[in-house]
Amino acid sequence: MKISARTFALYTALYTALILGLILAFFTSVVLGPASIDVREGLMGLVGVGPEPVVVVMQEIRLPRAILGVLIGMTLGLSGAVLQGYLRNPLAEPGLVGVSASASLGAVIAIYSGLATLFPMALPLLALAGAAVSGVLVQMLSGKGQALTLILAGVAISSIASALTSLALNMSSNPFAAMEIVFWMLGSLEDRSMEHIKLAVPFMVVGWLMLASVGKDLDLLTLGEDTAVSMGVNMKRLSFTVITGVAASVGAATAVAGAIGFVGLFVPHVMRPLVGNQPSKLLFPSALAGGILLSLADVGVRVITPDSNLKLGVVTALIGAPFFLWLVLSTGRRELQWR
Amino acid sequence: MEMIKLENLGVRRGNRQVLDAISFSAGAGELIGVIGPNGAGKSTLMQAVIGLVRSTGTIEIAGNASGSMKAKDLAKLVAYLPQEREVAWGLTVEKLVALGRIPSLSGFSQVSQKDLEIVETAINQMEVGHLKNACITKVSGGERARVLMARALAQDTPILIADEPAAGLDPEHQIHLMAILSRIANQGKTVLVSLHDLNLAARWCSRLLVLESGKMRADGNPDVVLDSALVEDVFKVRSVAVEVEGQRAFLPVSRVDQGQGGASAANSIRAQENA
Repeated sequence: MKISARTFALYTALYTALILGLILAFFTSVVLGPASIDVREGLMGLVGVGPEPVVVVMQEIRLPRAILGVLIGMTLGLSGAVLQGYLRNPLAEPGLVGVSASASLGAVIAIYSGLATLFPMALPLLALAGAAVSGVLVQMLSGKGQALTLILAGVAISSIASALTSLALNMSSNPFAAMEIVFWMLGSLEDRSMEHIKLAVPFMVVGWLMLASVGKDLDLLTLGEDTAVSMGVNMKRLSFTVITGVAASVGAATAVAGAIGFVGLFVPHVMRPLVGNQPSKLLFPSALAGGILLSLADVGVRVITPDSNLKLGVVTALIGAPFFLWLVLSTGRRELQWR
Repeated sequence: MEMIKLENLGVRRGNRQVLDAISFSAGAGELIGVIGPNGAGKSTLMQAVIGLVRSTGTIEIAGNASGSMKAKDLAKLVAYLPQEREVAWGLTVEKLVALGRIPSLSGFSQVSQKDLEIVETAINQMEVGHLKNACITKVSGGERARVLMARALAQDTPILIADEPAAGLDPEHQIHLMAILSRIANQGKTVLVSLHDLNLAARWCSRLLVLESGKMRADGNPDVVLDSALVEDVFKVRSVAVEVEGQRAFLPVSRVDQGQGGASAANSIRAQENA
């Protein structure tokens, strides 16, 4: 809707802060790392000027990692905001529709079968295939696109994928493969290359465009499914757009970085009061804030344990889990007040 | 022109025939009350008209077969206010009412000055202007009902379908609501409204549809359709009709299955009225 001058000023301030924050987080991610390279030398190395080792570290290690941090964070933030709006539930997050678990299963199959050793890109490719299969299955199971059926379908697909992942771990005769599976599932941006970015970006962009197109429908869903349908929302088409958008973007994110939890839950919830609780206004800020959070979490990983023992997914979970608990408790209190 | 036309409408839910052979047509300027006991099919009838439930028979909206219309086009003709007053997020009252303008926007266009004027009018009509900046989850149940009605009014469609919009409103706002509905009907809109309060229905509606167990029991002018015998037969309550300030009012006295006690009470009130 048309916004007042004051609201316009607030939105401008919010977007400016988030965009500047994202740029800052990206550069922090680029210039910080175990190798002691000073900022100026690092930035020169980024454009290919300076000693060969510095150029290699900056262009082939830090830059892809920083770019992926931003892209994956944005994906998780945006898809979390869309899913919460679509399911009308602040506890919804991208993992709920089964995409993350299925992508993980694809990756685990690649590691377990040894394909990942023979052909490194087999891992993200099989993970993407897993995400695609789950997207199709959830779509088929969720029927007319009602929220409850979608959640049930997502939980069912997640459970099956998790069970098969556990089976692969259980049956793995090679302890190194088992460890690789576990480490991969913890989520990380370590040792990712430009190849990973090239693979993920097309799917992410398609997913983002689909997710960004549903804002008005999400606003109408605020009034419940019946009212939204009576106001022109096609639930089947909306459900297709949301599931395909999440499967493509989160599938690609999981394919290159493993399952990173809580960003999609945490970020929209923090941003929501800043945009007057309107689902359509939440999408862009959540994407930006997701990029900031994941980039900073990855910086944290490198600062806390430069020897790379700590995985990114563990850090986001450590930030997210207490927040989740607070969310449950505060929601419970609100429910009690309403009664 | 017939704005709503139903022919032989039927709705089944599982083994139950919720609506059976319902036919009626409604023209512009009519305020039609749908009355009937719980489970008579009032809400289902409203949902069927806008295609929320699968039905048999034919439904025409402003001359178009409803099944052949795009949801977005239907939303420009019919505003629907469901019985459930669900609001998922704590939007401000003004933003929530403005959602009513979304069906008339195309693509990425934003609301115009005219849209804002329509929103403002709807807010003022429902007397919720003082709540404009309040969060919808923090207002009272009756206030929420009025805000949601303002949202439906802001859709500014030629047809308005409202399912029990008076439920939960205080008497003053019930009368105010019915006066608004009557006014917009007089302006040429078609209003279909389900009501439990027979007095509101009798006083304000230009026509009543009486549903009983999914069938159309009566259809016509309230003065002709509504009498104590019908109330007793359809709603299973004995009542007396009294006249207050030239308006007929129904006073329910007892349930039919409570034996003669209720009947004698009704007779005694009738006798006092006649004395």
